[in-house]
Amino acid sequence: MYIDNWQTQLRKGMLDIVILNLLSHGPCHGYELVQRMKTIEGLKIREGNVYPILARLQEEKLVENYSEPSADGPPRKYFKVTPAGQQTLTDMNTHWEQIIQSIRTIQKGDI
Amino acid sequence: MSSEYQQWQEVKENYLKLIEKNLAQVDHPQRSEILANVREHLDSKYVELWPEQKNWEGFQQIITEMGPPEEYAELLAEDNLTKAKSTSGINTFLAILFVTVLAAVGSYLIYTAKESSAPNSSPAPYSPLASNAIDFETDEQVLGKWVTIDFVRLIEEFNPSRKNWNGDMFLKSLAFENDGILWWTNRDGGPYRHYWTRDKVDPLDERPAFYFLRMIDGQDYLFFEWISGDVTLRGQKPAYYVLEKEE
Repeated sequence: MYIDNWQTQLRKGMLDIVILNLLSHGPCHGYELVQRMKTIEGLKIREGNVYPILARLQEEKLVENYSEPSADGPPRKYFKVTPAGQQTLTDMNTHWEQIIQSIRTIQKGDI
Repeated sequence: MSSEYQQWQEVKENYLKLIEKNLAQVDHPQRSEILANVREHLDSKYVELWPEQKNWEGFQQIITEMGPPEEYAELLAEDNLTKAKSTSGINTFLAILFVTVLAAVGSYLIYTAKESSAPNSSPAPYSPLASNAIDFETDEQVLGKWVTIDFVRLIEEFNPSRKNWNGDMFLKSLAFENDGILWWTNRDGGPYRHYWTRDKVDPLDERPAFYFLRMIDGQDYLFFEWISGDVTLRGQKPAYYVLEKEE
């Protein structure tokens, strides 16, 4: 039970960095983003989780959206990382590496 | 319009309504955009169903894959937590890991106690405190165990016949003892020891949590202030857990 809760919190907390990293490789629409995330083993996202995170990232001006015509329906909304988002992502990835390194150090008992 | 499509529309609209209701509890400018995006996502999911999947089970499967409606508000509300803790955009996950690392090296941090506004947030372990440090004054009416039944922004918002908060609530119960001790249980466990005196909980905190007793339709309810980061850091008014006396 504890491990389930911990994993859930961890997954939720990872969504920002996962979404920003995926979008940094090129714009995509929400549905496509979810499909790509579902292929990442261990992430086990709930599909709807993506949208509040995208809303938060847009509010912080780290992500923006634009519409493009779709062949099979109404225009689709695409999301892309802003320059500020790219800079923040660089900082996040650096911090992420530091955290991983810190945990490895602790795991090894080198403290 | 086929009956299957009609059924799908009902399932979809019900789900969207629940999300909308939950999102209404979060002050965020992108709420309507979230709903529009989810609607678009659901439409795409429906289009991808095979004909034999276009039935009640297939529709429920889609909703299950989308996740509980209350999670949208929870994830959006985490924005407040992130802003309160950092101005440099560090995300919640990094914060969690950071605490984990610090804990592992022996730095016992009081961290999460009252940083989040959502009722699903975890409080920090309450710091040890001698109960005789409090000038305790009892309150006969509040003695005993109270169980959480709702979460509201305003006391006036509470309606015993209609639940306001549909998500899982973090605070589960409060038990007031006649010696200034308060036992607090939450979703993660407990009971955890806190302190109280007439009208307030954790009275030595910079911002104690006040409680209010109200009788509504002949039933006593306890409204307990939730002292989040929005209250302590940004000066907003607290929301309330609503509890009723355990029989």
